[in-house]
Amino acid sequence: MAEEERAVGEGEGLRGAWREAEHLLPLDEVVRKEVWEGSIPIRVELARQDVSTFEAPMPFYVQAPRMGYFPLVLGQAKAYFQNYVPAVCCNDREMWLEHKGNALKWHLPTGVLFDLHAHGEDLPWHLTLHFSGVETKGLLPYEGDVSLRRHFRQTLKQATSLRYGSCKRVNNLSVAQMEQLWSSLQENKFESFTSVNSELLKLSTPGPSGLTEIKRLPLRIYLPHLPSPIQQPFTPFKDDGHLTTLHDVLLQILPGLFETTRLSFAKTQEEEGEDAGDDQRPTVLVQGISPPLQTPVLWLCQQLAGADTFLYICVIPKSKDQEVFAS
Amino acid sequence: MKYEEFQSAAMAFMAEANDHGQEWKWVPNHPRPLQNVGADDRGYLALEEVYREPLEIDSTENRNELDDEDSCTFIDPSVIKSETAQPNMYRYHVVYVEAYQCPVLFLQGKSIDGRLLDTEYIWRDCCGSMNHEQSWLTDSCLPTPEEHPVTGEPFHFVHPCRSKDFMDAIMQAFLPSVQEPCTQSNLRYFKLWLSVYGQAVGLRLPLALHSSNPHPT
Repeated sequence: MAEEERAVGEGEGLRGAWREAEHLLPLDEVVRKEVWEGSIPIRVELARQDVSTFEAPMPFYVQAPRMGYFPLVLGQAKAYFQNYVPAVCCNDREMWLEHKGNALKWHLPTGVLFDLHAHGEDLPWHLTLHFSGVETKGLLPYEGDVSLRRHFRQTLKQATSLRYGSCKRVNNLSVAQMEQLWSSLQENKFESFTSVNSELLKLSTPGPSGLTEIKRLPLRIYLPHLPSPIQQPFTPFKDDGHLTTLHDVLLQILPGLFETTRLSFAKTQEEEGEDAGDDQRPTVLVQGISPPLQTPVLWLCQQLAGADTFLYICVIPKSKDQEVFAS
Repeated sequence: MKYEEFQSAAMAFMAEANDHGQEWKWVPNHPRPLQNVGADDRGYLALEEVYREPLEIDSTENRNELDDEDSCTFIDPSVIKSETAQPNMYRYHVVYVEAYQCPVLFLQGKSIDGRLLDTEYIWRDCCGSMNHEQSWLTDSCLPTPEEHPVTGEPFHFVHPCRSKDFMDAIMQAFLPSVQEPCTQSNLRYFKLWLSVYGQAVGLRLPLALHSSNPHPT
């Protein structure tokens, strides 16, 4: 009898979730294309200690796609600077990018790195390109294009395994499709990208039973001072049938930071118009924007995911909390 | 396997393995920032400082490398046998990876001067493999570079993509004669998994750990 009651409850929860979800799941090409076209103006200068000529070179400027990766745009910068650098150092293994003394991880999407380290700074984003000293920076080894491709595919498989419970959808892509996915990133072509990417995001079954294909939400939550992302399991909807919101996720993972958000809501409700409460809220960035915390995460995962189908969420604490993190 | 099951199995494994002379330790993940905001603690199992003598590079291979124009200026110091050869140091970490919902073996190799060992060197040293041709589109059973899920350091990991099917088959083959409690089953899984995947990357486990295992039926 208890099992029957639970089954009925689960069915009701699923139907409730489907009523909320069915309008969110179709891929919104307008939103997705706008996200794809996001880019960051970047100014790259050569590290002073790597200049081997009398005159330092002028900086290199590039518009870098948010969804892409730094190695894809640094090929041009490397070609530009190579005449100023000792020949033995001018190779992929030695290159690394610095922002304010910190090495940037080449395997993260460019937009995530910007949101995490440079949100609110003046543009263009000022970066320094180094050709020496990479050994001490704790970066994954970069040995040319194949390193980035392989890492991208591994990450894609992780996200797919989270979402559906196995890597089969990635393994089932043909070689041509995988090559197309990669070349669309290299050449920044949305139509080419989305024709393969949508294969990974569409449900194969319509209706409520299709929603159960999504096992867990593929999330990676970054904070500036943490060495690695926070990954915990979240289902697309809760037992009561409501979709999991951004607030649900953040409150569970970072309760010390987002409990104040509750107070903020209460305060705002009581003293309408005052902004004092909002000042305590950390900045939450997805693809460079701050979604309302009540946004269903399922929608974010469908429309605002990175090219590897992970949803990257950057949480930037306020300066008061920075002290907490820095200690 | 859930994280809690992984943790209890890892703790039990650690106790047994250390009784037989290894020095595994459980590393709780307590980065202060997360502690301060009340985030969950998740740890991992670590065997640090496993020393291995550097590979012998035969004179022919050495000469070939010197003759190769592309590589002559970038010979990794760790592959040159010095007058007094110093051992390389490996670290093995077993980390629960949420994406695959199973433990994953991570390893890192460094020469005595702290340089990270090349991927290909690790393949030869730990796996005895000379396979240099690895398409980015095929799943490698060799370790590949990956960021450590907890520390963010550059490590190599053994892809767990087919762990489940493989381990299910092994667990069936070694079924005990009587029903065993979950904790015992999880520990048995952990030992079998680590003996298979660890062996593949040069990690030796004490034989005594398996003396209590039932024989195949």
